[in-house]
Amino acid sequence: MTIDLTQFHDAFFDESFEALDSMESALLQLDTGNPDPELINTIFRAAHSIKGGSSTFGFAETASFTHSLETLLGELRDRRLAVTHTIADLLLKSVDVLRTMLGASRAGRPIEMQSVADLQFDIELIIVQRDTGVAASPSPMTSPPPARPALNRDGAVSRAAVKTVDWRIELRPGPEFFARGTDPVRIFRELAVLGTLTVTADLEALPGCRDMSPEWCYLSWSLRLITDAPEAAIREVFEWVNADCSLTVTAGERAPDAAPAAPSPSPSPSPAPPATVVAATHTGASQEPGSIRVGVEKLDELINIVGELVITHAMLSQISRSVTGPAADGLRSSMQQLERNMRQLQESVMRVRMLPISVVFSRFPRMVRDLAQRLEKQVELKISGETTELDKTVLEKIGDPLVHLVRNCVDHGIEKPQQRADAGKNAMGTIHLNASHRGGSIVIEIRDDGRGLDHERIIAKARARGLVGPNETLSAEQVQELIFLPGFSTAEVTTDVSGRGVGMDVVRSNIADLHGKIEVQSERGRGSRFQITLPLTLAIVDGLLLAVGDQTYIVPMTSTIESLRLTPSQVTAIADGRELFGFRDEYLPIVRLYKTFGLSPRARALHDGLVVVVEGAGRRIGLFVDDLLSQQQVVIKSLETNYGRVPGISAATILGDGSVALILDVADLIRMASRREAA
Amino acid sequence: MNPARQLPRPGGGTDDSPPRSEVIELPVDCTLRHISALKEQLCGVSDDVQNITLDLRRLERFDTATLQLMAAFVRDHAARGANLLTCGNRPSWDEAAELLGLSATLAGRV
Repeated sequence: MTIDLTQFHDAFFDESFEALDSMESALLQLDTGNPDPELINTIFRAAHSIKGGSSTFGFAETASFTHSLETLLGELRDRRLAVTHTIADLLLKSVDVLRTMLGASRAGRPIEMQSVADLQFDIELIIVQRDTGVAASPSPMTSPPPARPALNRDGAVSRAAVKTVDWRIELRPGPEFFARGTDPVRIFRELAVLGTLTVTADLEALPGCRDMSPEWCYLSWSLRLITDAPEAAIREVFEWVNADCSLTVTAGERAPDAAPAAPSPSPSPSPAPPATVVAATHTGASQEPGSIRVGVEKLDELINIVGELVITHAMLSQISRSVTGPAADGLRSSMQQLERNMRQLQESVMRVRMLPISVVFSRFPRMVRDLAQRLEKQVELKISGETTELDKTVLEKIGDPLVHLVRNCVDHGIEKPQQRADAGKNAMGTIHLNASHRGGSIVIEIRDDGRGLDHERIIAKARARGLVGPNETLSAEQVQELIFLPGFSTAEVTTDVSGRGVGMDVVRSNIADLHGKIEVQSERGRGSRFQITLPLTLAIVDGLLLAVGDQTYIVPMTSTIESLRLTPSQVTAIADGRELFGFRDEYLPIVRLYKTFGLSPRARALHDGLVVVVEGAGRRIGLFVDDLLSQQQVVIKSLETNYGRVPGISAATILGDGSVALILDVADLIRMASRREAA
Repeated sequence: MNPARQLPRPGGGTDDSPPRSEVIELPVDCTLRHISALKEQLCGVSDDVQNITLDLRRLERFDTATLQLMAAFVRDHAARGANLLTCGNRPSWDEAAELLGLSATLAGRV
């Protein structure tokens, strides 16, 4: 029976990317002067796991690369090599290369082998330099490595427990053997470490120099290896090339022992074949208590069903209120119990989709380190609250805005060491990344102790661009808001890091799309603080129910500032029938929702209805509605999936009475109002 | 890629029938990604060159593909009776040739 291994590819890639994350995280914690052995073990295990999986699933290039990487890590683990900055950098680069390789394999794209080959060469060079004790060897082939118990790295092989055997190995590579990143000389060198190796090359298929394709492999080899290493140890050397060649390993006659085997005080068990080791690793991982890999679509389906249950429950509750008679009390009591259970179920299901924000935060230590190096700055990144959980979808979408903000902190916020010293600051700048829960929201804070926003430059830039009148005075809050305008940048020099004038408006817009908001506080010379407030989930929203005519609309609570009843004297009518009202030192336009959606309202005069001040995309408007109905959590139903895009509406929900209510897209309503103003 | 250099004739003369000699200077990197250029360089060596010297002094990076190509080149020219010599970087070159079972071929003995 043939097993279709492709069905396991997704799990392999997921696990490999997780292994790379833990590898990177451990590398960033590695103290080059005094490395923690457990961290090196973590890195080694990650590389070993990827190597095994790549080999099993036929990703030969990745298997070959991780094989070299694992060898280097083995040297570090066994303290035959010291962890230097060069090696730490090389290992971090390896993480990047592996991410690219795995990403390409997952997408079915060819791997760009040049960078892989370069890095692999550098890795092997370091290993050989260690072996030869040469500081700058011209080539990894300068000298064969001294014999060492290569297979003892897993602590499983005991030479003393086995007899010396004369092995015959036939290696017949396919034409693309080299192109897949496999170099036989490396394989043979490893074999030579195991015992006495004799190699005979078969040049029968090798054409003349002019007729050959030099990238192709025409050679094949017959090898004779006299060793006391077990067959598994020999096969391990070939484990990542098996898919690309024909390989036979046969035991010949038992060779006379070179030396009598010393009795081992505690014989180690023979190692399992590598594939078995890998499989065992995977099995072990999947059997961790409380850990199971489930497809996101299954979770979404579950959440959807729970959402339907919430709606059905709300309908039943409404009906139960009108029930009279002897069964009424029992029914209502049962409904209350059902409600409690429903809430628990809903919360439990929502928690399943929750992931710690460390998934996103974990990319920043590396990013800050690399950026700081490039910009010749000293930056310490402090992370707290990384276990704070939020919905997977929110998590996926908040990554890019956070990257932009952290980059800005390093590039624009933190000064060069000399500038900091001149300003009486510690040469090492600090960026603090924190996440916490506040009520039904998550708050992410990015704080630096850099130069802070230069209000004068921002105002000057805004005046130059006509965004602020020559005599117009702005509050500190208003000045800081200017950085969120499209294309606004005060950077004197644009770099590839930041300062191209794109970004902060996009950051705000992306956060608004998540029903969140971003605020900034900054003090010149002391630093800046960006605070992002996000809902915990996009599946359920805390909403304010608004009545307009016979319709109910919902505005997310995160967008709501205040509701107020206006008197005619507070309203200023301007040209084209537009209306403004004063609100906290600014004039806000009034958007009559009944006009926007073509409804017949119960209230047309402003003093008969209510104005709800909402905020989105950095701007505020007042929504004129008939009345406020209530505040409640609602289950979001995609309108675009079920119907189509409607301007000013982000989604829909089903209320307890079974009616459909539309959820307002505040940012879109503000954009629509702005377009009307501009027109 | 450096073209094959023709060795100056002894005394700088223009003898009509001296054995022609060429030095093939292998570049720093002869690994797979530069192997086509190396092949081009090798194919530029005329069949009437009698003494071929492989100058390995600059060579830092090579792999099995390099040695395979060199084996084909050496075998071709050895078969027509050319003399093959190498200079520079012998230990690493020889070690790799030995490991691949190509020592005799690369020495022009096969």
